[in-house]
Amino acid sequence: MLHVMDRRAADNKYLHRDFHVTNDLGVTYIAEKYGPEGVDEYLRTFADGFYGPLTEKIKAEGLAAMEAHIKEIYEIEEASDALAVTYIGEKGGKEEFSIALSYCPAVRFMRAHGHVPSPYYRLLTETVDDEIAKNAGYGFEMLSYDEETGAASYRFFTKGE
Amino acid sequence: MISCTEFIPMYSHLFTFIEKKSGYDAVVEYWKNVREKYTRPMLGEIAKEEGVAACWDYWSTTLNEEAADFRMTYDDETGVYEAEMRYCPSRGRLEEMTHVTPFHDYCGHCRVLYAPILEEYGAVCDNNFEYTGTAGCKWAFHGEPRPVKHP
Repeated sequence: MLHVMDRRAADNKYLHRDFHVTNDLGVTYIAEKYGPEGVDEYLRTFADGFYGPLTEKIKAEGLAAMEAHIKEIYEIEEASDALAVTYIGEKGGKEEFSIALSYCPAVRFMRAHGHVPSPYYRLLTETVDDEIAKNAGYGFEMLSYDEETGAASYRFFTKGE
Repeated sequence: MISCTEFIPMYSHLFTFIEKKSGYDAVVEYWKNVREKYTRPMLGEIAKEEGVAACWDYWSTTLNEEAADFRMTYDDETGVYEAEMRYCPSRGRLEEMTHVTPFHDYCGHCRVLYAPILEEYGAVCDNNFEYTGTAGCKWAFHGEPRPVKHP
């Protein structure tokens, strides 16, 4: 019997969650081969390049652009329920918003499929978001992170507070 | 979090990063590392049981999850598997990004990740991800005819 499968891109949603595992293996490899400094350089140079357009948008529109980006990411990952955003406000030219995550969909997927996220995985948020914020002229602070679930809280803010 | 939909440019950046640090051979070593830690536990387990039929069962899952534009066939009477990627979602995404320079041999990882594992279980590679242009490629294997598990 001849089995035939013919698909167009539009036939499926682009959401290959196994990529979270591959991403974690990637940052782990960099850590083993080049150390913590290598991880930092790897993630910051990625943020500098790939998130260049987002950075420009934040410069032009303020932190609302970052907030929209994060919301979009969690919608794509079908995990909007994990995300709570608190806009602290804009006052005297300064603004801030904070994020509270009840879980990370990537961490949940990896653990459900037998992969324990490496201690470097959190840096995909912590270092990358810090670099985006820095490049756009803002500050970033990771307030908490739970290795088990990826639950986290962090904030973006105008520097000088 | 980096969304899994943003993984491809990060993967490409990883290759570029390693090459800048340690040269192209180090990138190939990295692909071998991914093969052993990531591909083997999934594809290897299926291939151990199904031989060449694993091609059908493995890629019928992953290519759909990646929303690929493809056609593939498997003849369970001759044991011939053939696939044509009309538009690879990974390579295609990289080509579409104007602000990112793709790794010069981005497609090279596919040549390292799959064929060596399948060949261990009797599937002979006839075409190892030959690039056909415009984010397209072809690959083919043959082996002892076996039934697929997920027709």
